[in-house]
Amino acid sequence: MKTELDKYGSIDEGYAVVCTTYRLTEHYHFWTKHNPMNVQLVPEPFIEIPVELADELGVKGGERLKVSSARASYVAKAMVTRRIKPMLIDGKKTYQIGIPIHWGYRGIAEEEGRTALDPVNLLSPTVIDPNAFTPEYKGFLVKIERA
Amino acid sequence: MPTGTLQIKLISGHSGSVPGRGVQREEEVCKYVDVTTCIGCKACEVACVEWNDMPFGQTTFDNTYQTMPSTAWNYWNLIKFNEHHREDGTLQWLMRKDQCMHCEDPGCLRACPADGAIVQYTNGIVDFQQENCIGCQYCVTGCPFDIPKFNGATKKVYKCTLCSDRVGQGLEPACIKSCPTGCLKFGTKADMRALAETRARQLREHSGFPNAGVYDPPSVGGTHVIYVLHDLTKPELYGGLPANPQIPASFTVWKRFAKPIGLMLGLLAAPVAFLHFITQGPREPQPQMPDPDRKAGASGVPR
Repeated sequence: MKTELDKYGSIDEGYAVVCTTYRLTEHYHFWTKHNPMNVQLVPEPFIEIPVELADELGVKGGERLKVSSARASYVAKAMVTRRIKPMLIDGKKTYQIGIPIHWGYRGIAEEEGRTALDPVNLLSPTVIDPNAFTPEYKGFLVKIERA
Repeated sequence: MPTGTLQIKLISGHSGSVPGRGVQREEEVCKYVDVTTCIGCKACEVACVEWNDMPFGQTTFDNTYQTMPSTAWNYWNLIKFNEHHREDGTLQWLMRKDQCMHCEDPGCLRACPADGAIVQYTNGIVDFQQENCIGCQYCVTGCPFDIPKFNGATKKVYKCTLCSDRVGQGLEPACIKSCPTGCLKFGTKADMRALAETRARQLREHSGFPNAGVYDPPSVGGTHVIYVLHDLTKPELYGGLPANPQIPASFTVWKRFAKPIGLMLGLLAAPVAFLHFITQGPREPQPQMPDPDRKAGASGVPR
């Protein structure tokens, strides 16, 4: 059965940025959002974008960005970095962005209103290995704009 | 703090000898920090806050992975992050654990005027004794690493103790215990120095870091926290580690010269007064001059 979360974006529809999700070393899955010490270490969610993409969007670190996939959208502050470099794929300059998972629904920062209540995994596609049912969440296409 | 087994070597603002100094010989301890294998997980930050039972604070997002801009009175241990662009176009993400360096010649202790507010143990740990602290913050200006931090509520200064309470009981500091990669080690200064030299040689000869070396600045007499750096020629890249840390010269001038001279002048006042007494004799009673105003006023009062 297909639902709203089973759609895939394409470059032609404007989903031209490659997005990946990951955990941070400070966190343990989603659990540690209830621990004040971990909230002190990383106070709120962020979207890591390359400097070149930030210049194109006219965004500085700390400003809010909206990332949308074909399935959902996510709003958080931008972390402008040189650690993620633009890639040259098939002769085309392609940007990659990264969003750490950890936040969403309930938690210390969520209940203080410092974060969006939606988890990042609403953006990612439900693609599952047919044999092992291991999810493949780590690469998908998104649009990025100022929020 | 229960630091029963630690022998004191130096006491701030203390005139006279240090009680018990040299009674017992002790190995100097040292913290080894290999920045090349640090992953920036901040486990040491959590361990420090938890062990020292410090209150949690709120931080703000600042376009970096670093928890806060610098250490605080209730946050003694901070990983400093820096994205360094190398000349060959590659990027190095540098992480350094910033905390008290426990200098052999501590600028904070030298600057401190309060008797016993800062002590140095025989094993090299520099520890603040808050019950003797007068909150003057001279130690803040005396520290070349910007480590002591003032708490406005208690009017005292706080910093990393190198877990003197744990070390005194034969345990390693909390940060060392929490480190998952083994980039933090704890032992005697000689052992840690040897380990660091071995690691630096490995980096120079096998890992393509020709300038790798051990940061143990001789300008403060060596430190009891040593770093293995990829590039010893540019320690500033690692969150502003000073290449040549210096105790401000004004402290040397003030404490070593001006203060003894001033005290001597003060003491000289007693013999000078005595000499004046011998030559001039005692102060004689002055004749009372009649006060015309007072008389007029007294007679004007109606009976």
